[in-house]
Amino acid sequence: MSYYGSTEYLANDDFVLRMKDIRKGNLDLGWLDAGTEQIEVNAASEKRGLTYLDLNKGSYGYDELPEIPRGPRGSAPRGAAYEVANQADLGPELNLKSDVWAYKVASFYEEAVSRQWDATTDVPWQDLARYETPEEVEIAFAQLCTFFTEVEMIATDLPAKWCWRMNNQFHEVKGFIASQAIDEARHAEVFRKRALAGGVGLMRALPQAEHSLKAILDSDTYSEASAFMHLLAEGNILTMFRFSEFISPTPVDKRMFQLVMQDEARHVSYGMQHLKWILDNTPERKEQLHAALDEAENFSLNQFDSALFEAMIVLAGKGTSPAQIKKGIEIVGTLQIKQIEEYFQRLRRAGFEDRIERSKFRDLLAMISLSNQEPTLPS
Amino acid sequence: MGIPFPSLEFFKALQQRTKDEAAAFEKLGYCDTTFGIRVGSELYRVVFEIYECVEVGEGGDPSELDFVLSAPLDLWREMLEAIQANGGADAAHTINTLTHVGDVMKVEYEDPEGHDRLYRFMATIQAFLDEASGLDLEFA
Ligand SMILES: [Fe+2]
Ligand SMILES: [Fe+2]
Repeated sequence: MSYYGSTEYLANDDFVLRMKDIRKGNLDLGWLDAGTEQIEVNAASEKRGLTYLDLNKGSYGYDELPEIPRGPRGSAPRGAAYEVANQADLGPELNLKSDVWAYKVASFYEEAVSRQWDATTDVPWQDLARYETPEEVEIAFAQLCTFFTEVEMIATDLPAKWCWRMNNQFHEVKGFIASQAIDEARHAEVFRKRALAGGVGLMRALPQAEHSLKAILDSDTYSEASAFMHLLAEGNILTMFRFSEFISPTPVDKRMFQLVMQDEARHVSYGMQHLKWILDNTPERKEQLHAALDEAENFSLNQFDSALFEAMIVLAGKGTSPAQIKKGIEIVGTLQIKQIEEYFQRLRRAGFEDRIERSKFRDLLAMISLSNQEPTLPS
Repeated sequence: MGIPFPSLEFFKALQQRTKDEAAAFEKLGYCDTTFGIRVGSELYRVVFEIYECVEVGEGGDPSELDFVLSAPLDLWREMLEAIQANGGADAAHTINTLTHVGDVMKVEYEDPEGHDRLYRFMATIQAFLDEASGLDLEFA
C-alpha cells in the first residue's frame, strides 16, 4: 500500500463526534452553497441528445480553458468548487492544454460513443463457413490477423498508459482516449476471433512489429506518442485496413474491416488535430516532434522485410504462383505509396509541412517507384 | 416506371430509406458528413446529419464537400446491379473495394480530414448505397 490515510478515522474524536452529530440530525448544510456557476444547458439537437459540446459554457466549458489551467491536480471536475490545499495531488504529468488537446476532441468523443459496435455479434461469423478460400490465402490471412492482434494490444495499452497522467481538467481528451482503448481492445478481439474462426489459428508474432510498438509505448511525451501512433502508425494501419477489406477473401471479412476502419480513421483524425493544436499553440515543440518522427519513421520502415509483407503479397495476388506473386507485389507497392502520400497530406493539414522534406519516407518512395524519377508528392 | 439512375429522384429515394430504416441507421451511430457522388459528369450532393440523410441535391462546389465518389455511369450501374442481386454490395462492389486500388472509382478530396470521414462513416455510407437493393431502377 503506497498511500495511507492521514489519520485513523475511527480513533479520531472529531470525526466520530461529527458523524454522531449528523446522525442526530445536526446537519451543517454549508455545502449547499458551493458558489459554482449555474448555466442553462440544452441539447442543440434533441435527436442527437445532450453532448459535451452543449456543455461548453462558462467555467464548465473547454473553450475558456487556458494553456495553464492552474487549479487542482486531483479529480475535482472542471467547474466544481475545490480547496487546492486540501485536494489530493494525483501528480498528473500532463498539465498544459497543448500537452493533450485537439481541435474537435469533444466531437470525436461523442462520435466514438455513438459508433461503438460489437465484435461478438456485428460480424456475421456464422457465414464464414459458406466461403472456401485457398489454403495459403487463409494462412496468409491468419498471419495478417496475428500482426493486427499484436498491434491492437499495444494500441490499447498506449492510451491507457497516458490517460491517468492527464490532468482531470482535460476530461474530454481522457474520455476520447478511454474510448480509443476500448476500440483497440475490440480490434484485438475481432482479429483474434477471425484467426481462430478461419480454422488456421494464430500464426507468428512479429519481432519487427513489436520493436516498433515498444517504441510507441516508450515515447517520452504523450505528444510524441500521439504523433507516432495516431498520425503515423494508425494512418498506416488505416490504409492497411482498407487494403485488407479490398483483398478480403469473404464478405464476413469485408464487414469486419469496414467496422475497424471507422474507429481507426477517428483515431487518426484526433492525432492530426492534436498535432495541429500543438503547432498552432506551442510551435517551439516542433523540433522535438521532428526528432520523435525521425525514429518513428525508421521503426515503421522495419516492417517491410517480414512475414507480414510476404503475407500481404500472397493475399493481394490471391496465391503463391509466380504470376500471383508478381501481381501481389504491384498491389502492395501501391498500398505503400498510398500510406506515405496520405501521411504527407495529414502532416500538411496539421501545419507540419516541413516534416515532409525531412521524412525518411521520401527515400522509400523513391525506392518503391519503378522509375528513377523524383517521387511524386501530393500537392 | 422505375426510378431513373442517375437522377435526383434516385437520391431522394435513398434519403427516404434512411428514414424508413431509422433503427438500422441509428445503430450505426452518428454520421455527420456532406459528400458528393459523381456519375460521369453529373454531381449529386448528399448531406448526412446525426443518423440520417437530411438533404440531397444536384451540383454544387466539390471543394465544399468532404469527398466525392466519382465513377463513370457503367461502373455505378454495375455496382447497383450487384447490390440489387445480393441485397447489398457483394465482395467485389463495396465502396472501399472499388476505390482502393487503381482508378476504378475515384475518391476526390481537397482536405485529408474530409477524406478520412469516408472511412469514419464507412458502414453508414455503405448501408446508404445498399438501400438501392429495394428500389426499382432504370438506367440511363
Ligand atoms: Fe485499432
Ligand atoms: Fe486505432
